[in-house]
Amino acid sequence: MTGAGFLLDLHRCVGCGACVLACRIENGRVETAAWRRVLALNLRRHPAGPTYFLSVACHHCEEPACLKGCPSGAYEKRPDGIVVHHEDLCLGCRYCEMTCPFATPTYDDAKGVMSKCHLCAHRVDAGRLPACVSACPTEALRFVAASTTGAPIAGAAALVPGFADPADCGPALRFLAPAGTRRAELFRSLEEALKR
Amino acid sequence: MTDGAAHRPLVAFTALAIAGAGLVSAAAYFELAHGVVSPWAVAAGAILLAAGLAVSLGHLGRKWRAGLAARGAGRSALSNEALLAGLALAAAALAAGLDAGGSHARAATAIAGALNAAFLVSVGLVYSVRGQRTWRGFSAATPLSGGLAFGAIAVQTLSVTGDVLLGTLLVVAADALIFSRRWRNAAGMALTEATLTNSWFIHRSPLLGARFFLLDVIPYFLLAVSPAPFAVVSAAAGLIVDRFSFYALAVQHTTEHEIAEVEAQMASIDRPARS
Repeated sequence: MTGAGFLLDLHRCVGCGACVLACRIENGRVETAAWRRVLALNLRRHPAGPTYFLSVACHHCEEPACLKGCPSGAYEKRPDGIVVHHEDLCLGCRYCEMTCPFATPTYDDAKGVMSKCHLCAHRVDAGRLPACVSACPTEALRFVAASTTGAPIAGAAALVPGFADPADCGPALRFLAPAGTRRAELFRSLEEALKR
Repeated sequence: MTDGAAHRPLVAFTALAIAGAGLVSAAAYFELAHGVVSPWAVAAGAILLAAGLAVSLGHLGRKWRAGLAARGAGRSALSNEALLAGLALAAAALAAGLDAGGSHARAATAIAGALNAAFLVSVGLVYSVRGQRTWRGFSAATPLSGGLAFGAIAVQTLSVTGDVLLGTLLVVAADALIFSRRWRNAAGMALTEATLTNSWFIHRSPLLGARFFLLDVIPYFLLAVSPAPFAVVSAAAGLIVDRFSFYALAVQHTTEHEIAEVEAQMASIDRPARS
């Protein structure tokens, strides 16, 4: 079985930040650190590379480093692959922030505990899409439900330039490469150059 | 975690706990290998370790939940460290209590020494995480080597009368060797947008150099010439600089840093020909 996660179409994402705003509103995080962020690659438009946006939050990894490192067992990986954090068990030791290779969990100063994206588990359980996915105007960010077949998403890549997995956690985030002749060509040449 | 304020309790905790556990381990070594009994070192080690554990609570957002740290035993390196810290402290306190009661027990000191050495290993393992660029490789061994070096310097200087024992010089030399590898790894890292996010990174060589001289070089030569209490002061200062530099030089992998590095590499890539 493959767990639930996200699929990001790099060709469609325009970096509007609607996903970030939707996440903030849905989860009441208007004045605290956002769980999702949109990062731009090559915003200065260097001619040797494509420009695209990475909308990232918790990746609900296959082997979550946060869960493995947490001393109090505040993290749980649900059967559908969603990694949830239980505030009532959190010590606020911030070790998950150190172990996560994406520095995803954020410390909430007011509460003295960590917090992170829970893939809108409450919405998923009710048969709805996560808020970020639901708000995406270009349908660039998509929700991938847990699958019993484990079949890979056609044409989707696990890693792209600008997104690496140094700790082999197996993030449940897949990417569709930029399309269009010129952007696709720049994307491919950047990938090849980085491999060298 | 890159903000310095969050690190302060960790610097204090690890400096005190490593010094304490190092003292107890070194006291056990000197007693078992050379017959030098140092009850003061076991007692001082227990006090330092207890102080370190008390200070560590300052790092927690929810201090009263500290007991939950044992829930991850066997899975989480941090839980293992917490449990070993408790065991090491209990064993050192028992050995010190027996000494104070006039019934010194060699076995109690030996067990305390072994548990405190295991605790030092566990401290290194906590920070051996793959998402941290400057905490890899030899960094995991420095709490053990640094703690033992400090303990050996202190016990040698304050308890041993007569010649400097070869074991002390070997422990300090081993720490110097291990630490020099960590220093080399950190010095070899390029100054990129990622590493420069950490304002201390540009000062990494003076910082790591200060630690190297204070904890290893100065005490080594002082011991080689004539054991003097200044060697202990220098080693203690070195241990504090060691812990400060460990956290101050943390460089965590993030997607932001990954993007910055790809953008930096783009500058060296030829623009593909337009088809």
